[in-house]
Amino acid sequence: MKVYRLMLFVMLAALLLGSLSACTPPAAAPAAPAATQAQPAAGETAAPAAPAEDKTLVMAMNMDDAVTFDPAIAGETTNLFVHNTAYDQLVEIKPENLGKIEPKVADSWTFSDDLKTFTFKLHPGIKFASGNELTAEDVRFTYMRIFNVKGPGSTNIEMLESVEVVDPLTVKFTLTASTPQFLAVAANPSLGIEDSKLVKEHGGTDATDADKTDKAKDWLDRNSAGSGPYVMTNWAPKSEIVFEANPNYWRGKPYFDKVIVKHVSDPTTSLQMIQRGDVDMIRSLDVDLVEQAQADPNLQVVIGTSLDQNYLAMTSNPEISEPLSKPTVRKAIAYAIDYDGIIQAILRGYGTRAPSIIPVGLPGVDATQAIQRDVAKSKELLKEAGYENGFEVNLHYGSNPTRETIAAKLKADLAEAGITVNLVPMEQSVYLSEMRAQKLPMAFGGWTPDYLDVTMWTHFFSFPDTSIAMRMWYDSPKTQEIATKIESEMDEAKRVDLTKQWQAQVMEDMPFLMLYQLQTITVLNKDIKGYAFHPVYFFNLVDLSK
Amino acid sequence: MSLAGHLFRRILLIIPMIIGITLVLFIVTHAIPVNPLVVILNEKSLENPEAVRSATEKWGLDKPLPVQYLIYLRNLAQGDMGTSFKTKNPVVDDLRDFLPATIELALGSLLFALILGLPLGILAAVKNGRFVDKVSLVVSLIGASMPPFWSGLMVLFVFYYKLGWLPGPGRIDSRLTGPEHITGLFLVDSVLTSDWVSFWSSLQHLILPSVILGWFTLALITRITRSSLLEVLSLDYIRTARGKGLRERTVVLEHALRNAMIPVITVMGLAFAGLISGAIMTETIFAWPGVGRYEVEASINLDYPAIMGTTLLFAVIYMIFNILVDISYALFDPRIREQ
Amino acid sequence: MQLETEIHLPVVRPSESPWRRSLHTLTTNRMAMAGLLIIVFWAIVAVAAPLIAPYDPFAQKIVDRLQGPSAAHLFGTDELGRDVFSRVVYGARISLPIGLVVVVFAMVIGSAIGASAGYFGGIYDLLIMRLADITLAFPSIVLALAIAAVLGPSLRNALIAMMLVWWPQYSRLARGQVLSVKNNEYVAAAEVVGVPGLRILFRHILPNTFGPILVKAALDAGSVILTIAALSFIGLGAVPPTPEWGAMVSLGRFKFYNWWLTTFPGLAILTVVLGFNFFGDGVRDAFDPRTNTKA
Repeated sequence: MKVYRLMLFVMLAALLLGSLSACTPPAAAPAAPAATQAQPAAGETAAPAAPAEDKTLVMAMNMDDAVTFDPAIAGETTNLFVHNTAYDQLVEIKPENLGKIEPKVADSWTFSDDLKTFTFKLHPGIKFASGNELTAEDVRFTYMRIFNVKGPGSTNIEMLESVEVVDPLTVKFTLTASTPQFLAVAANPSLGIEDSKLVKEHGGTDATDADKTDKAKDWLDRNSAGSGPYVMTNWAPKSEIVFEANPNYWRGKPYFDKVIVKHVSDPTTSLQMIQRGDVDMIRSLDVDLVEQAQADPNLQVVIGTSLDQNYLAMTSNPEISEPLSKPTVRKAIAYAIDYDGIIQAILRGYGTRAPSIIPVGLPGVDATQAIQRDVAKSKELLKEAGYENGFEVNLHYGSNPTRETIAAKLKADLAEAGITVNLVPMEQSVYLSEMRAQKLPMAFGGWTPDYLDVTMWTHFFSFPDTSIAMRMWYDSPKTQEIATKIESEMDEAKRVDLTKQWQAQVMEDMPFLMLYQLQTITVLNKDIKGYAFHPVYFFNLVDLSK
Repeated sequence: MSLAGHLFRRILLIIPMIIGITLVLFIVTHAIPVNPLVVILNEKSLENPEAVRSATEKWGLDKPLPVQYLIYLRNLAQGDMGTSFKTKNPVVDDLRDFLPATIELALGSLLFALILGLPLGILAAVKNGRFVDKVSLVVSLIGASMPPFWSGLMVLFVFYYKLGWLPGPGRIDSRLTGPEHITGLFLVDSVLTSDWVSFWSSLQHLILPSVILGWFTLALITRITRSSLLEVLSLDYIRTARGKGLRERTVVLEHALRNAMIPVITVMGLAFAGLISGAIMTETIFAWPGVGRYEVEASINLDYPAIMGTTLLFAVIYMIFNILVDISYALFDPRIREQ
Repeated sequence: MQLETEIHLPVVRPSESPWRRSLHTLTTNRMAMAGLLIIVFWAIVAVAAPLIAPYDPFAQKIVDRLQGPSAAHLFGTDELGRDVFSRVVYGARISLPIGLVVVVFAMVIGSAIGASAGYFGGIYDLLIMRLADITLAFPSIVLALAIAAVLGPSLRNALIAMMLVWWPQYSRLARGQVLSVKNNEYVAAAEVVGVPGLRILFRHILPNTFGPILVKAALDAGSVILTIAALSFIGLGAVPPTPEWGAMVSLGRFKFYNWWLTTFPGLAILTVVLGFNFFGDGVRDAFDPRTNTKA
């Protein structure tokens, strides 16, 4: 009798759960069309499948930042890898030579002397994974959709005036201002060409009111609509992304049939997983675990230099911090920091340092020109500025484990020069809010590139109406003059020269000083070949094989 | 008052509670010193006037706060909890995606707590005051004292990495992509689709996190079983049964236990609600894609539609289970029904 | 775990004066005494931290970073070359007082609010109890998480969040107690004699409600310490370089192969909470007549 009642209770609970989960099915539905579309295509190529051989690759990667994979809305880092894998861009920049723009969907291109019109000739016969033909109309649709959805993706193409389909394989871009970096921008993975028919089928639009009317996000989050080597067939947030090989891939079918990217946020866990054979590679490993990985004979460790800058920015506004508004004091701080201690001890040597915000790896940047520690000189400069007894300042930053460690180190270093630093760790979004409100005296932040051109740094760090320069009240006519010149110069040699000038000027004003530029440590099973690190999209998945 | 009438009143009372809860939450979350645009857009887009204008309009950020609250309430009445700043998805959709994993974990934990807690509690009551009683208490209290974010790391290290007895983090083997989505509960879905590989794998993956999370509830189950059984054992009818010369085993298991289960079942309902919200830490360590992690993520990103939605969900689950517990109490205990 | 005490509301009747007997039960309970011993041990560590710790818990020595346990560094060194043993010792100065402050605050304020609501009744009672209901509708960790996120990460804010979350449980308990004592003859007698309401409340009613409230406080101390550690672990509590145990585990988990970084602070949390739970359980056995079925 009582047992019966217990069962009743359990059933009641089950009923509740059932009613909760009853509303679930719609989430699963979007995945289905992709599968049905991919299958007939697979039949066409009729490649004799070798079921005995497991051609699945499993990768562990921290995808905490992944919030959407709609190219128009995503603006984080993980999406760059996903978009590079599933979509093809007009042009590309390969890992071997970061200074060279190479053809991808576009075979060739021309531009006007004023750098305001760019015309691309498309490679004929490219098919999307869906089987649709890739034409100039798809290129136009892609750019206009991203522009009109007005999400983070639109920021990179703010200068777009119009896109014109000249003929099915020719597309012409007209820009509002001269833009020498336009080709580098076009290589941004999120500007991968979308299959306009497929996206429209799922509610996409490029109309001017697309920010309100576009409904493709839901579908694009869990699927891809590109011509890239892999098709994203599912995304389970905070869990995994599944890629399947695109049988139509115009550059040849990729080696792996299936790639599962597992979300693992804990570096120790990811190392345990590769050592236990649960994953085949780790996208990025913590520096403190490298020794363990290197000691394992079944693993290979590949080091790549990222372009992720970690900087210390100091306000130029005396109302926020009287001492920091003086360039002499800012230089004194630059001389007080134990950079070698940070890079050699804390980062175990897996880091480098550029003299200014423009990272090592770009033409014209020489790591040896960076300031070295000199506490005596620092004290001298402080005395010169009238702060021989030091002063107190708050250091703000978005909290994460590496930053916490380094912030504590900065506090100790500056104490040696007589400066008292109070650490103020914040949630990243609060940090950004406060910084954007131009309130912070001293900020420890990071900057990662969306595209590989020097303007990615000189623009955002020079002009007082944008981004970091605005937030830290940096307003130097000389710096702005050089930055303006860079933005209208196409000649490579002259650009390098201007880069050096800009760098020297910023080091003179010292509104930002570089702390470190991280290296990326990737761990792979010994038998995986073809890996090459890329600072924007991490690596080309299609290059990997066994 | 009749049970149905009482029930109706209780359910009706949820509505003012929800209004109160949302008001408190709305005030609390809007005290955040954060510019929502920072969360919605990325760093580089903050000075892009078009993106800023569009986002402000879309999320209604330009409206005065009281109006924003009324809009929230109106939408909530239609089952719409707003749109997450971060994922740009309706919060309801996000919760629907993340809730099944949490429910599965909570059920696994409850099962563990019952499997271990009931025998421990019975044993403790029967051997009242003796060594076994003490041991059962110590075992359950140790569980309640362990920080799950620490013990989780430790068991993973030992049982997954060192010994390889049990699988690592996640809901399923890393080379599997999970059974077809029906309910979102991997065990149920894999049974429904006869996907036994997935079933076996997700079952194994459920063990470690369930033990860590369930151990927390163990003390509650053990204690309540013990004290309830002790009380029943002192009642007259048990004495009579004993007097008739029945074996102690029969007396305890067949006569006493039945009645002693009432408070245990009551507590189970509340424990389950507690497990759902208490899963936050365990989910973090075991890379479990549940609501707890969604809440932590939302809190860290100050994504306030998501914070409000998740917190409200937890609160409603709590209230529903409270009502269920009351119902079950009334069903099981006639004395209450008559009141 | 507070559920049981909510379900059965034990009443300590003034006529009985069970305090002495309960105290005796408590002191003869070996497990409770073991718990008390652990608490006293950590209390001594906290008070005498500067004497016990061989190093300054904040002193960095970058060349000695991530050294395993040795004679010089009993618990090894962390990512900045700080002595883990000294940091664990100083950590006691954070966790213990916090646990105490939150519980005492919640107990005092919560019971005062609840007792006054129960005593005066009316609209005041209604408002207070609705607010308590709303707060109680949230699981404590969830609400603390939300509040801590709003206030920003710091130990002080985590403390405030915890206080805001914890008070209503005591209010409910105290209110229930007051309601059950309110109609007793001696209260009625005091009212007839003309003793002012507040005085009746504080002098005559409250002392008689302490039993169950103390039991709850003893049981709560452990969970408060655990919750604070959890908040710090997520990054919404103590901020570096504060040597808080939860925060130490949080940073250490990224360097798990340097096992000493997580093991020792973790053990510290475990033992302190265990101490409180052992003791709290003993207090309940001794002072809560309902569970005291040993006779």
